[in-house]
Amino acid sequence: MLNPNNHIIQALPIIHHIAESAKKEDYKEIIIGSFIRGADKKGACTGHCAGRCIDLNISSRSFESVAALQMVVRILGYLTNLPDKYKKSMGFGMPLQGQFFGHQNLTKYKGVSTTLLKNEELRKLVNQLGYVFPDNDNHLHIQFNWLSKSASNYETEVVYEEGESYENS
Amino acid sequence: MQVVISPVKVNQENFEFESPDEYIDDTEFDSQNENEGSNFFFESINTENAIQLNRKYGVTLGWATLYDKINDILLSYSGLESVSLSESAFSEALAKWQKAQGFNSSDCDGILGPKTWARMKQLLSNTNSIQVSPSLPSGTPPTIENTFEFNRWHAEKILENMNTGFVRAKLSIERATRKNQSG
Repeated sequence: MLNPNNHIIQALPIIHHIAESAKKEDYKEIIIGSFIRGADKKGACTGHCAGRCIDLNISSRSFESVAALQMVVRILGYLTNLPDKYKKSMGFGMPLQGQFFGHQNLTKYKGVSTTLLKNEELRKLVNQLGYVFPDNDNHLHIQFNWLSKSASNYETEVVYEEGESYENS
Repeated sequence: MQVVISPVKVNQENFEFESPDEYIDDTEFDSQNENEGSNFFFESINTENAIQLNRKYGVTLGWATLYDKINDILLSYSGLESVSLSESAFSEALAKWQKAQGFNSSDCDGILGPKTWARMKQLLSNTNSIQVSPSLPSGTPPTIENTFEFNRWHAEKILENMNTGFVRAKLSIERATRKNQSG
């Protein structure tokens, strides 16, 4: 279990920034989903377990909607204003749904070119912030490692486990 | 989702000292320690260096407010009784305490930095329900060297936003949905 006494929970300033940004815009659709989880089946504690990932949902739930796309664009826009010290090695897991990857036949959890994203604004934002990979439906997954000086290989940073879904994320 | 940070109490049940996955600030051992690679412990600590760093860490880690309680723990390692230890005696006693706690020889440096403080806090929480630090200022986040307060400050800010409805946790919605469904 992550111990806040001796472990910086990297997700906290990111969530805080998103929440404060939403407050400034009086935007109330963001739902904090999965945050800190236990170690994986092999006992490794990375990603969610290490407090370096967050999943965000929308109040209307489905990411097929335009509202979901708008929420994700809005959140990534918030992140462009994140203090530079936190804006490092950011990865985004986005669903194959709707205006994200448009139900293309892509392998989940592996980094892909932003050109595969359907929405131009989303492409620009991801290019500005980090990298993207297809993920499970109905949530935006954000991962980061702003404490690490060497985290740059996104493939090692993709931490989502195959088979996870909205129901258990 | 529930934010897991307790606002003030040290959580000893979840204490995981020196987990390889943790980002413990080891600066107290990186460059300041003169005993690295040595078999000597407290006899050869750099007392002056330890005093300087203890002054700094007492403030940044917040343990200066608990000096008397720490003093009580270290007294038995100082050979003294019923006194407030001088800074040099404090460092020397701390080095002995670090050794007794099983720290590596190179870590028995008499410096109460983040790593040692993590262990000391646990010990303090065994005997007292203590407040680790005073209330935080509202506008400025603590530095990451002050791990617990950094986490706490951000968590409290997030909770403030949740309480005012600007972000919500999925768990609460699911609970509400289940409650509605069950009538």
